[in-house]
Amino acid sequence: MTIEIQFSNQDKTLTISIGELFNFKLLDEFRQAYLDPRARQADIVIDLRQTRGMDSSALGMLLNMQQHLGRDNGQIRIVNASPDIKRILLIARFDKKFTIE
Amino acid sequence: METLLIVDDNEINRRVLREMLELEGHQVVEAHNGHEAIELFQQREPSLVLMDIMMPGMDGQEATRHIKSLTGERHTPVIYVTAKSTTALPTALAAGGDDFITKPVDFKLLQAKIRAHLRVQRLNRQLSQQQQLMAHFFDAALQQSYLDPGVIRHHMAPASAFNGDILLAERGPHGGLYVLLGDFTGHGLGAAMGTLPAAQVFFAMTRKGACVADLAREINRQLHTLLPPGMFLAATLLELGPSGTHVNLWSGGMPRIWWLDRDNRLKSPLPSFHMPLGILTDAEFDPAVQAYAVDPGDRLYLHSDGLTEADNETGAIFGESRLEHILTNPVDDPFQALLQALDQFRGQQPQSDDISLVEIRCQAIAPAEPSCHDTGDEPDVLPWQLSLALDSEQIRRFEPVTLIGELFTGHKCLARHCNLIQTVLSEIYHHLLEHGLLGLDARMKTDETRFVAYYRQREKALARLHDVHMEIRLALDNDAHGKYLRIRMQHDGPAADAHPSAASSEHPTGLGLAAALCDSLRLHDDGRAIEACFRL
Repeated sequence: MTIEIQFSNQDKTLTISIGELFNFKLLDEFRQAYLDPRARQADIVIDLRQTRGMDSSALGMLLNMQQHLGRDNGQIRIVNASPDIKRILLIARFDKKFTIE
Repeated sequence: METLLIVDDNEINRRVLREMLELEGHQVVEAHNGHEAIELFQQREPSLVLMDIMMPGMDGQEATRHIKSLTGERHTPVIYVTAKSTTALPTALAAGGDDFITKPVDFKLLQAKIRAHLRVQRLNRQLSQQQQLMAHFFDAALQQSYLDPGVIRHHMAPASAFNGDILLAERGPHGGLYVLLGDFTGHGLGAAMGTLPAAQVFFAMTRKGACVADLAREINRQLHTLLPPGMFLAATLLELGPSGTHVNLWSGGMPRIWWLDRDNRLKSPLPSFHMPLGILTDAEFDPAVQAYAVDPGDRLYLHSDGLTEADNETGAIFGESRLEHILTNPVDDPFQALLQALDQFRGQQPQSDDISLVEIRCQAIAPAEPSCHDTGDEPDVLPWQLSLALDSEQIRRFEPVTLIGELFTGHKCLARHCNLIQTVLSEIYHHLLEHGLLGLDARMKTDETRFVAYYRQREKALARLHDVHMEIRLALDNDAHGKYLRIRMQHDGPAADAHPSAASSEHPTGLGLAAALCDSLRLHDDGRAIEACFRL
């Protein structure tokens, strides 16, 4: 499995955990995760602890999710990004749109 | 040959005993009174003591009490040799003596008793050697824990030599903290046995940055396989995120966690929602995790039930309300206050269960420093080139960038950068493929509704691809300034728009990302070729 989803705190938090490579190959699986009706109300956490590499298609997927769910900047959290992944997120100025931990 | 100590104020008695014992092949030392006995006991460490009760000065009972207090865990039998079965005998045995024989001594009986007691003594010695060996394993397994007192304070008080409570702590690969506080069924060695597999799974998985749910599931799976029925591990597993603002919690069968803010106000008790680890099969196991947002300076207090169930001599127990009262009534240091209160409450009452208390201070925690730094002083590298020529069929079937990335992981100088290199290769390759060979419009990707359509189109266009080629060339190069990976990719399809994706500030372009990661990146041949240089 390349994406795992987990609802916690009585469905108030949705954690989407991404596999080793985050790119357009995960497009459908990733969309499935946030199209879940429970995701509408939930705090979204993107967990990149397993992710070694990503490219701009993944950045596009993240932006699309933010638009689709109508979330304000900083509302969606990206956690456990490796230094390499963080560098990519910062080059793309994703720190302005997401909370990167 | 065993050394035996004879204590008697009567010289004839001593000589008779000595001769008999030496015939048996023992080495003998003699003491005239209690004081001398203690002195010789410490000097010669005899395996067994024959003790007269009635002696001038310190009597046998008093000397025995002393000797027994000196031996600690080591068992040294003391046999009283007494004139008759005196009324002093019950108290003398209560003082720590193991057996007695009356005078006149029946030598056959004494020989049998000595042999029996030496057997026990040897077993005891073996057991304690094995215990030391076990203790070494446990210490080694648990010493790996990250126990920075600025982050985590702990009080672990086992009821016996081995602790059935277990505390494990480790930093994540990207920072943050994992903690496991557990309480095995019962106490003592039997309870502590499960510590080793639990610790092994904990450290192996936390170092890889596993999530709490997976960690709980794997420890459950291991313990379910290994532990005998009826034995399990009540445990709290938590992960404090690297920024110290979030806690993920899985807790099964443990007392609630007390969550205090920086001013010692109770925020909330965090209850345990699950069955202890090791009971359920993997299929039955529920990995659901609770997530909490915490503030810097918040503290979490975890404890085992040995703390709230600690009793005093009147049979009263410490209790949860007492614990809550101490934590929530402003004191400087709730951790110390709680330990003091527990000490006062228990008094001299011996401990009947393992007691553990852990305090975690929420804060940002940096990752561990890598143990060996890769400095730049590597030997020169041998330059090499790699080239791939792909036809349409191969472009459809393979993901060349992923395959190249796999080659790099074994190459010392590239492995360190392999994730970013793979991003660069992927951006360049997909740019040439999608906007050159497949003729897709990059602007589609900036529109949420057309984003998915873009990738559907990509799939269709890729399936129709024919009569084109893509060439990938990589060269590892070094000069006086450093080492470089030079990348060139080109195709023989139609020329692409030189500025294919009018860079919108909202959506970073893939090529822009690649350019930011490289020293240089240029388009050539009307956008059919891209050259880039990545500094290693």
